[in-house]
Amino acid sequence: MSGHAARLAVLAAGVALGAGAAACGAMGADDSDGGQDAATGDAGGCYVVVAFQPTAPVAPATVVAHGDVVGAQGVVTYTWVVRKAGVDVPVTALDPDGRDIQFDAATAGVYDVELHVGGPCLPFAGGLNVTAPGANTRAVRLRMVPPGSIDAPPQERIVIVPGGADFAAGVLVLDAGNLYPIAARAAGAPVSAYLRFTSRATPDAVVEAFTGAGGDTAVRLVPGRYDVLVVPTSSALAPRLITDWDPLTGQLALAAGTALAGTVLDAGGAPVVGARVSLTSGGVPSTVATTAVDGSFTVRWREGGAVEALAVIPPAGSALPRLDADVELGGRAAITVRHAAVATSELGGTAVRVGGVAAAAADVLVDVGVAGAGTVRDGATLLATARGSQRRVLRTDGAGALPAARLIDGPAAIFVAGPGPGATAAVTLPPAGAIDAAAPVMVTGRVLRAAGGARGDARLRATLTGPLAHAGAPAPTAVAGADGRFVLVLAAGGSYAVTIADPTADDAALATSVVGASTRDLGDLTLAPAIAVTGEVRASGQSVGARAVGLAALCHLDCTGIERSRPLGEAVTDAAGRFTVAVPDPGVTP
Amino acid sequence: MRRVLALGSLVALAVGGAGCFYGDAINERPSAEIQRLDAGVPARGGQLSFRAITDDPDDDAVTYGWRFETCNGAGICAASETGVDPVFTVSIPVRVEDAPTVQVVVTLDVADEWGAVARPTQRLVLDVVNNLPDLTVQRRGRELGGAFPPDVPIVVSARGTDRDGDAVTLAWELFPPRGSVPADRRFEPLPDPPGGGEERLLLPDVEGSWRVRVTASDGVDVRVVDLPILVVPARPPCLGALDPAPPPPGAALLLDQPRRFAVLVVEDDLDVFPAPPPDDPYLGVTGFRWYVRGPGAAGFAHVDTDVAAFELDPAQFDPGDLVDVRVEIDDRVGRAVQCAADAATCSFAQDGCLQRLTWTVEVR
Repeated sequence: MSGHAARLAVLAAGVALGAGAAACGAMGADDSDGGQDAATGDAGGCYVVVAFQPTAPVAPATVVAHGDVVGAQGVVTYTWVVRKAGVDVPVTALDPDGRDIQFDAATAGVYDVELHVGGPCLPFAGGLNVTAPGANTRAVRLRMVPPGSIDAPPQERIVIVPGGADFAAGVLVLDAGNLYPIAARAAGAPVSAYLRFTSRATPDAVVEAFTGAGGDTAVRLVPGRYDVLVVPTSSALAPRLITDWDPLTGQLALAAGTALAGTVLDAGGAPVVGARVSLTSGGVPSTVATTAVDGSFTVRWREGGAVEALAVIPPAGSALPRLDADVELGGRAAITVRHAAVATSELGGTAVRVGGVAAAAADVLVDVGVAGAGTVRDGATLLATARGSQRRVLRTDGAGALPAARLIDGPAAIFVAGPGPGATAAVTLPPAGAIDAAAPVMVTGRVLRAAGGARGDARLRATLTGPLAHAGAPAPTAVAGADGRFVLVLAAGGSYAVTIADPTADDAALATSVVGASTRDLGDLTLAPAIAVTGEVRASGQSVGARAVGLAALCHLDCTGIERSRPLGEAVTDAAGRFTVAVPDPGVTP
Repeated sequence: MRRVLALGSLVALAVGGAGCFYGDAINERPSAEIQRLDAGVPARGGQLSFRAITDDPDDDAVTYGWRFETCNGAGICAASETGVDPVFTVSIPVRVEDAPTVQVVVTLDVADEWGAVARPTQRLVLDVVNNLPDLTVQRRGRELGGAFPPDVPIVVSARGTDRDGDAVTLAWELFPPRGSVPADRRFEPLPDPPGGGEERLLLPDVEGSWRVRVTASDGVDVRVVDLPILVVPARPPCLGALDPAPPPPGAALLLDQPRRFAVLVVEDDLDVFPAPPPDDPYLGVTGFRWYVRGPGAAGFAHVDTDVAAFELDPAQFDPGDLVDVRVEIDDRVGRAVQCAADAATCSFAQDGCLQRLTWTVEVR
């Protein structure tokens, strides 16, 4: 990438968070198109204005810059500086006093333009984007999370990044928003609740808050309309999703919602005491009810979708499985959830071995599931059959044997934690004998740069996916050698998401997967090229940059789920509020 | 006056016609003295201004003759300037015969239009002082709050200039604090500083108050600047922006879909996040430790990952479960967290700079 050295220099500045003066002058506020239009440097009534022609140049181009000063007195001297990647670009004056100039933008990228006029006027400084011919574009969300010293909610801006060259995003204004007083009430009574505000404009930038016992709080939000999920602490009130809510109203009205009564029975028809019952409708959860001594429960909910997801969690220590069912509950007043007679087996004493060696004092995750583990009925009407599952972590003894534990019979995925990546096994419970997991395997490959050649020092990380993914699972890592070659030691048979990152940010991170890990060579893995997106973050009302703002570049149109929160690149603003973040290059179409 | 004399002469003539004496009037010489217009001790290269204060008893017009001589330490003097105006302004040359100017002599002759000269000739001898060389000493490095961490390079730059145009030489001295070992510290010149002057690289080996003394000499006088360099233990890193923000004590965020708990910024004197470029001369990357406490678990389980974010999937838990996700950060020092395991937050210095934060989530 042409701006590599400059980017690293700015990146270094970006991490040096000492106090310092901000840069003078900049592009216009929130100029997310890179400030192609006229922009100003302002010093108390003295305005330096620069306009470019063409406004959106495509390389190669001859760019004319028109300078002007408003509010200056006397003869003004125009001094221009144009640089690209820190190298001076020759300029040609178009009039005797040098007010207007032109320069050749031979290649695509960011041209840093300064206009100094002397006197009390601060100089203009800004970056002009010259795009590559045939540049593809990609929408990128820039999420800004301010430090505690800045009163502003987290927020996002969508930037359209052209490919083929570095890009200046201009000034991004961190909207301070307003501190809205909010009252959660149910029939006039205060409600203690969890609140999640999802902006309808930028739904990924959520703000979470809580009301106390008095039902009141104050939440700082960017003005706009929100979808608000309210989850009361009380189980007598149904959570509610309030759509298209205006924070100016300040009121969050709650109610008991719809009551769904029911009973949880075991396979013999005996009540199950202490089971947790909940459902989700249209993404909105219900209350969580706990069954009484007679197995009865009442959850409160609001219908938000056609089909509800019902979950019944057995009490701790029970041999019963968890039941999950997709069921239409709209209009139902009462249901009966009954466990089916599912065979179970005692696993106590079962030996666990990894590579033939007893896994002593190891945590063993057992994830077993079976269909038809229960039913959901409304009276005599069968509404749904439920899937049954159990997910337990059992610790082996010194000889590698499992402790006493009764689990349902069925296909199970096993993960044995231990030194290194751990081990996996796929077994059917009850096991015929010992549970044998293969020893870790070595997955090799070579990382190549986008521009060709080995990418030494690339960082690889593998994360378990699938049924065995769990909090606490080890994430094997590796560092590529100078020849780009790496060795990842993975749990045999495990499925992993593998990310490969270039520590220099020359290239973009690469995501790949390994399914059913076995000793193998992944071959050459070529990183995608990256471009640098630069800009400046300012708090609203400030003409200087905001420091220590966390900034993540995130995918926008081409991703869903948790991918939307995995950054393409990360940065922090420096003392002048500037940032540089590397994102995958959208490329060009010849 | 002339009219008075003429009238006197007529009277005398009249009297003489009657047998009286008469004769020419006598011209008196003017008097003069030198008044210095500026204050302070004259310095080489500086300016001096004088005014002639004269008085002619006859009210005759007077003329001025200024002479300005400069002398070096060997007593060799040279005429420098002359002047004919009432006010005489001169510049003091920095050298006389290639030696520093140490004295100036100003003489003033005043005469009236009849040629009468003020006596004695006014002569003013002034000693001239040397301008001390100017000396700028600066430090650069991983400085935070006026202090530097140990074992991180510090560049000390010095530039000496002299208003008199004398060549300036620099001499460097290092005063390390107690406990510093010569073999373990570095203090060495750097070649060809781009901004001119001289530069030294200091690599302090111990904490304490270091002092770099730079002495600039112009061959006549010296100027000494002591640059203090405070080296303090590496500071604990501070958690900055987080996404999401942790809930207040006793509250729980909702986990109804896979979520990412991320540290976006860590501020530190040495080890920061986002990571600096690999070739940064000072900085390294923060170390992260993640822990999870599942429902019903007595303690936190360490997660084998050292990245800045941790993902949690509600599918791994049951509705109603409370799960704690904890992050702790550290720099290259490798400190042990002293806070109780149950403490949601921890600050080594109790100064609001946090090294531990905990998100509590409720699964739905």
